[in-house]
Amino acid sequence: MESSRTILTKIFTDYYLGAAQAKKDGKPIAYVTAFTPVEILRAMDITCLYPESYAVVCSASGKAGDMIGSSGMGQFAGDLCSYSLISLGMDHAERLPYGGLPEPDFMVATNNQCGTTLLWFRLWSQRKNIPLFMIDYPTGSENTDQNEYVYRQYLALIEFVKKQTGRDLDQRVLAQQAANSRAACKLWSQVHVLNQAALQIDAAKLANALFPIVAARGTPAVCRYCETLIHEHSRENENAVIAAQPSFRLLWHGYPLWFLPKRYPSFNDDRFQIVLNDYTLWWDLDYPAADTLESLIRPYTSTYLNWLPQRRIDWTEQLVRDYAIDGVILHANRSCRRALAHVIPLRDHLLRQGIPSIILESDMANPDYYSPEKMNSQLESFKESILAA
Amino acid sequence: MTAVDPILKNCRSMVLNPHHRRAYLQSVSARSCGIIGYFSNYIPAEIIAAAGFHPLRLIGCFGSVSGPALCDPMCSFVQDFYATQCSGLADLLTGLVFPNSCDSLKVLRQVWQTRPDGPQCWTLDHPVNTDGPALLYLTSQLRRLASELAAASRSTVSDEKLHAAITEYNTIRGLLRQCYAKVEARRLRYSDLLAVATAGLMLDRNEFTRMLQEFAGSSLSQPLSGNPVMLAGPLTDDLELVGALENHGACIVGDSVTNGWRYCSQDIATGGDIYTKIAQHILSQASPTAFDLHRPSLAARAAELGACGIIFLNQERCEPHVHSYVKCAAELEQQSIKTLLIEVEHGRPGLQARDLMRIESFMELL
Repeated sequence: MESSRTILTKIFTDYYLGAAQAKKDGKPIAYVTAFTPVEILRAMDITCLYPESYAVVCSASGKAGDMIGSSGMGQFAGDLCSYSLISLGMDHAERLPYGGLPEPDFMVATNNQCGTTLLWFRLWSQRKNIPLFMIDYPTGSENTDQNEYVYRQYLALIEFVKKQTGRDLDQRVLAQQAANSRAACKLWSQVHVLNQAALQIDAAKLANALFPIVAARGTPAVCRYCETLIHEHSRENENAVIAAQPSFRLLWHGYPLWFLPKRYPSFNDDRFQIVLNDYTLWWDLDYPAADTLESLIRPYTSTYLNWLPQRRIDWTEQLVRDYAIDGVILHANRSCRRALAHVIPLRDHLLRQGIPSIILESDMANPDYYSPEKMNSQLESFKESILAA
Repeated sequence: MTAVDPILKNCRSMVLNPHHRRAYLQSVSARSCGIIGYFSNYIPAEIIAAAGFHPLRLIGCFGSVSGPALCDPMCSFVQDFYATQCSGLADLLTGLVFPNSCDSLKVLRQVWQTRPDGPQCWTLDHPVNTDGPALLYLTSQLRRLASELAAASRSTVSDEKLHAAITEYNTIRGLLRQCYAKVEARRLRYSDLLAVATAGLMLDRNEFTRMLQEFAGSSLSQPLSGNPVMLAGPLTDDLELVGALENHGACIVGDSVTNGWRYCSQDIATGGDIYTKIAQHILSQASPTAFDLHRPSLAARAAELGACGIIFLNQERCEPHVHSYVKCAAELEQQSIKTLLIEVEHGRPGLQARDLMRIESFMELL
């Protein structure tokens, strides 16, 4: 049986080499945002590439600074999303990981994670002079008309892609992609469940394991990868590598710090360990069973960042219970305005519930906003508050 | 003293003095179903008015000194508004209508909804596209908003009431366009028009129409001198800054700002389904969600106005306008049109010395 590491490497290689090959073969390539309904595009035989995921790779490779400097956003860079800046810098920076992403034929952007993606993709598509399609997902679930609206946009997307590439939608492939995505998301959720009773899979490993569900969702390889991860870390597996159990189980709320080798700051104390980062669960998308075009409305409308803050707060509280969490670290990621909406209300709510929590300000991909000294000192105080509780 | 001086004094005070505004709104509140605040010109005040409420565009100096802050990097307008509301300075509102536009405003709405003590909130989903599905969706959202506001005021929003409101607001737009023609001909000072147009978004519209008729009839005896420039940006309510531009040699001949030309350049068409007409009007406007913030192109508008430079007055940390500026500045540079960017911290009193120096240098350059 292949190890999860082997499958992950293969998914990674297939993604980057596959993109280069597609470019060589003249096959259409689309840049898409993280929560684009890629099942539709793949059912039209489009190679989908995720600039956000590539920004993570660049940040982890220590290239963020150079690329942000090349973004052309000058004095405004300090107020903008680092993923967007890294991507915009891709066109001018040198010595990029994997040689950069191949040029796209068109782009698809959605606002079910934030409004920044629309602004960034719009500007980028204008700079590159290539077509852009934007899908508008209403926020929250207040509007009964929203399903019809999103469905109509899906039809318009199909027409747009057809116009750009001459390719038709293959309903059979669409159904297969949707079924694979549904299965993969369920398995991805189960991977996290491993840590509910005891810490069985390291948080850094889980963060690194995110790539397949983001970039290859809809392909059978992701299910295989998740199944293998579950098998490798399951207590029933006698060869399972089970981590040392912490005395205090922590939840990291929000984006990891991709530029850190371990993705999270060190606690310098084995008694404290992150057992869950809810960010990786954002890809536990809720696909209904139908496997049709309509079935792609719910998962992409009901993304975490498209929820209203109260739902996000309730969800976090539920995770605290399910994972027996002793303390919550809220990452106030300056890159993501939408994710910041609930940070202060959530901290206040958790404190009212008697759950120790702390807000750490930093950035997901730009190390300039990371101060190890400050963060260590904040974490020391946080640990003391947990011990006192 | 001219006949329009009292009008100007009143309008400037409405924009700059939160205490004056509060006193005025208290009197308005007593003679309406209540006051509904709204955040953008993409929310049709006509529907709010047809529901019996006084529509109050949330603009002008809020008077915040300090207060609870939202996490950075929310834009300075949103930070200022949040701080003011949290200090109880704007408790006169019956409700708030939020646009589904930029993330800062979305965050403001979302944080607001977690507060138990705030006024009721409604949201108008403004589509990011302008195609068929967007028109249908926006039309349905406008109907929903009208019905929710009618329920809140325990009245109805009939087509007749809505039509009457549209006619009234179109009259205002028409009068403002007349004023813009005078600004372009240098027969009206731009900062005066901006004060009046901005105050008009807060005043009782009947009262404002009468005021505007008088103002539109006034004219300077001598044309204004100075370098012809155009303003661009989001909401522009820093009258002190605009006045400083004029005092440093700028003759502002037009703009592309939300509470200026972009508000009044087009009427809402009448005839046919009234909600569809409003939706068409909104979708024909440049907006933060549709990104194309300066439609038609700034270069074309500057040429039309005979402006030799464009001054961008952006709110600090306004994400859509940063992206728009980066795109526009590159295009304008290619066309050899000179630009100056001044970032305004909403609610910050006084001008920064650095900004004044930059304005002086820009005027010399022109």
